[in-house]
Amino acid sequence: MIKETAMSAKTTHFKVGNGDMTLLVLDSGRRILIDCKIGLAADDPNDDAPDVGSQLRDRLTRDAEGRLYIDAFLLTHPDQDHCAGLRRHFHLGTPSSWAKAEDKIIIREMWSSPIVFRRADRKTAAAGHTLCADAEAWRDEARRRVRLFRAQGWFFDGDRIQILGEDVDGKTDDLLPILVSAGSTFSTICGVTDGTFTGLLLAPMLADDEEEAEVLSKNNSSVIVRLTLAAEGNPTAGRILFGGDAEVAIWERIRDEYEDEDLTYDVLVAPHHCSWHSLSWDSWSEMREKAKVSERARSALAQAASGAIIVSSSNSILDDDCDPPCIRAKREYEAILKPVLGPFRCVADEPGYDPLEISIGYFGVRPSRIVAGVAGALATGVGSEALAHG
Amino acid sequence: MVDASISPATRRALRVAAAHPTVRAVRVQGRHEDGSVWAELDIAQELPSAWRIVGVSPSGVRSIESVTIRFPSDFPQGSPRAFLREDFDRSHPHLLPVPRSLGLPPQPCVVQAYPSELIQARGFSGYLDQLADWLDSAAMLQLNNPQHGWEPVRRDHIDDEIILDPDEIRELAVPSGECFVVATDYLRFELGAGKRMMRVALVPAIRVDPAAAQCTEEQISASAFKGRGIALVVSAADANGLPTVIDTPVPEDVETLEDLQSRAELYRCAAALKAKIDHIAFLLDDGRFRAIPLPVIFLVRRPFALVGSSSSVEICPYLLDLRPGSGLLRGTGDVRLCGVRDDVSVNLLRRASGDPVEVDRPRWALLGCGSVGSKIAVHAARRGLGPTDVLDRALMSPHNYARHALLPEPNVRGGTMGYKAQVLAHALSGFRQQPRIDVGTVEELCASPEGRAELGGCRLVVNTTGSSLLREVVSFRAWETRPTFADAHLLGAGSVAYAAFEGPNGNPNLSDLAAESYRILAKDEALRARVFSAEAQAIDIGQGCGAVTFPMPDDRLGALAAGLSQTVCGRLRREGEQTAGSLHVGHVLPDGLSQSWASVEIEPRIVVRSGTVEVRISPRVDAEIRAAIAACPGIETGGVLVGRYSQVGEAFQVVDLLPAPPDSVFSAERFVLGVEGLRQSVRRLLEESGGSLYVLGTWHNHLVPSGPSALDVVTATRLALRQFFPVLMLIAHPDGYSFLSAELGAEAVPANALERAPA
Repeated sequence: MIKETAMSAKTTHFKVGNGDMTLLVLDSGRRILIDCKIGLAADDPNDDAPDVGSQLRDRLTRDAEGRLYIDAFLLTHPDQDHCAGLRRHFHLGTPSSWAKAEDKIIIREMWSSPIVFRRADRKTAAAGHTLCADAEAWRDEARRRVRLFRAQGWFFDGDRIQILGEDVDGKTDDLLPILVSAGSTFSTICGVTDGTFTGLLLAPMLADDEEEAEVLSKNNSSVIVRLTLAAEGNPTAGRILFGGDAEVAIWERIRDEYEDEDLTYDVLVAPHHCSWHSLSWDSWSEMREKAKVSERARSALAQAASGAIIVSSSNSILDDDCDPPCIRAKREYEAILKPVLGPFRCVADEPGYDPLEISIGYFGVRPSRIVAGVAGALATGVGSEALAHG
Repeated sequence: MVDASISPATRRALRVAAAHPTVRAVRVQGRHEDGSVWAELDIAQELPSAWRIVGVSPSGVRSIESVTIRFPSDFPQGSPRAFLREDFDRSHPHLLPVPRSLGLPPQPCVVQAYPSELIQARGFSGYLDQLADWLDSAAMLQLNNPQHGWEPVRRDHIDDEIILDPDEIRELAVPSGECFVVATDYLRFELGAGKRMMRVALVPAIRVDPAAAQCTEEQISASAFKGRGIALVVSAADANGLPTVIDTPVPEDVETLEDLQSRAELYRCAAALKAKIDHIAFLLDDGRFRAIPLPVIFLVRRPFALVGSSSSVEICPYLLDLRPGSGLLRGTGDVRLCGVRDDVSVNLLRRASGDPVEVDRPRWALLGCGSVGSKIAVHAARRGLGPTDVLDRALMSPHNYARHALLPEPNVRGGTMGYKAQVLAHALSGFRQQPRIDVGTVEELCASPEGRAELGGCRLVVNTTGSSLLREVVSFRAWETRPTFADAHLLGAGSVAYAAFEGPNGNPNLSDLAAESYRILAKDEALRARVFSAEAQAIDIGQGCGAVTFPMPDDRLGALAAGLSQTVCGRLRREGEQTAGSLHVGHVLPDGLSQSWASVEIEPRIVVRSGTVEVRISPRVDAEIRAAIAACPGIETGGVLVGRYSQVGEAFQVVDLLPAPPDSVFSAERFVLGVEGLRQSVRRLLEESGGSLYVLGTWHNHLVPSGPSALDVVTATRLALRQFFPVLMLIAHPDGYSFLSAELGAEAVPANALERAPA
């Protein structure tokens, strides 16, 4: 038997149905969590849903004070399916108030969109965009950290925050040291430069005026970021593009703003759980095959490098009216991957309860193999249909 | 698609294969005459993105690999076999080495054990998972490069084996590039129909002249032969003052003498090897040389270190299967592939134990080579941590074999005869850990400065004799260089294991630790019944144990000795300064099988000295005294001291207190110890500790730093009348302790002493 060559960096895509939850482990060992969806069912030992909370905790390490931690938590946007379970699993408030009995995870640094500050105001509330309780908790914690920064101009792990994207009307102008503006790159995490990753912030883009901001916001404006991970001495071993829940208008605008090389990816987490609305203005359920693809949006999502992987973090993709995930979006992505011979992997279709893992090594990205193992041995027809017995 | 002649088990396996996520296609090729079923499986790889577009990894693994599986007729009892395609790169280091003449396609080394075992445990899909893993890893295999290292050719699953110590053999790769002839011990099995299996161990230290070689052979059973022979070890000479480096990997397919010669040419040592082989061929032809298994070992220098090794010299062994009258002289002969096994060595034992290999073997002495001592020594030696010094004065007796770690010699009446220390040392030398032997007693050894220096150079000196006198002697001797002493023996009729390790500079010493252990044992109802019962008190198991007078089975003793050995090895492996001593007590629970172990750290004693007399106070007792004083500010208080008195060390060891009875009088001028209930408390103490702990005297405090008062002297004298060893009167004052020791018949009551306890 051969001892496998260790791949150094890794992404873990948890089985959370239509939602997002991805853990990145950098070559430096730092851990970045992008969104979380830890539902009550996942935390219920009697429920069959994968226990993603425990799966996450198993992949973290503890600091000198015995606290589990992540170096950074990137919330792409404050929707329920991207931040569920935040209050139950993560420590919010000053690090000194952490309690062993609760044993929650410390977020050393928050990476937050400015949109969380805006969502609660009256205009957006009227548009039906309100914050769920977990998102409110995120907003309150982000405000606490920003206030701390404004008050003292520095902070330690557990109090840190970086704002990804400028807010309108210069609202974030006094936060320059902790602000990443759209179109710029960053390699800072927890106050230090980490040479094993580079983030390129593609969105949220600064709207020209309130009206445009409104349009962008209605289109599920998310943080869209491409993280380039180094591994085993290759500085660009894996370029991971996170599309958040961004829809077609955003992707068209991104296409106009950026060059091909800015959008090239080795791994794409398909936007909005493989939604048709990221690729088209038309409704899938109404127009089905007559729906037209936006060439600009498609092009923004089609810069797949050789052997690239597209991940659908969603429920299983069936040939039905459902959207998301949408079968036609999947077909479109498969067409994008065909010339580069890359695989399309839906997280829900991984066997068993384990997440999909992608290793990043010198020779690029490589998805974990689907192993039959226990799942195969336990294959049974019992429970899949009614079985008559005479 | 499957025909009915295929067995149900094989059919099931094929269905599992078809449903397996990595299998893209299953093609049944048919049933062979021998009943085996052959099927081809297309197995998909997850190649990293860089290689997907070309569909093949640099090590030659394709994104879809067709693998042929042979299901034997007795599947699943019989193991399936996997074959890769014919043109799979045969120089891949993780293939099973198979002679080319068999004409078989390359075979992956899928599992370490038997595939049928894996299939029994995890089903055929488990086997397919392993196969897919092998292909994945084979695809990702970093081919030989400086960071990863050189992949030596795998030689698992070959019947013939060469046993050698790699470090020892590599020393024969000399710049002049010689062909050394070294001695061997071998076993040869005749399996019938001309088939043979051989196992040859090299003894590089013994060089042999082929012309004078005394090769011998004896038959040890119907099919087995045991003999002494020779082996050739050859390497390339340096060229232009630089070592010759061979950087071409080649598949393992040598089968004939001709192949071997061309391999020698590749390794640039053909001339040296040919000279020796020709010499042997002439001798063989003349009948002056016996046809023995003749190993030929190439030492091949690679451009960088081998994987899993710090050396760049690869050991490439072959076995010339000499037979009488064979055509060696004419350049023909069979060459067999063989596996390599490391000879017994400290490194091998440590690797097999899962211990770190690259650590020096600590110097440690074993006092007592009886049942417990020999078991600890052998357990430790099997981890490459055997004792460097063994001491015992006794001879091995027949009854010792009931529990001793060593086995009796089958052909010697009375078992192996000799001094225990010698017999044990001889056995340890087989583990390549020959200790220094001392037949004598510790007392004799300690009497000379050389003997003390011998012990002083050890990191640990473990006393397994169970002798409490020895314990007192080593504890209180003035050592020029003091090693750390330890006790390891059994108590309580062999049902309790006891280990103690001294603290820094012998504080606490073994005697202090024993006194503390009596306090701990006395507080545990179950333990005290066993340790302090009249029966158990009779004998402590160890050197003083008579196997006949005190019967107990070896498995019981071995179970507890194994725990003792773990504490000793744990201490030997621990680096850095210790800040305290430690006690480890294990005992067998009432079910006779379970064990319970407790470990406690014992802090250094507070030592107060006057002349030759010492008072050694447990820090816990000190804290209790200070607390009692603080509870009664402005007045004198006191109580009763409990512990042991060591005659050898002239030392009082205070490990506990009895409180002052309620009728005591406390005032600023004096403390009067009452009597109410005190006799009962003392009786209970003696009962619970089996008399191992007793009243030493009294303590009281003075409000200012001062020695004993005139009243104290009077009281001490009165007490001494009733006591058969010196009485201790301890005085606690704000700056520390002073004490008074009095004994009847002594020339005078010793002078007052004012000593300060260390901060």
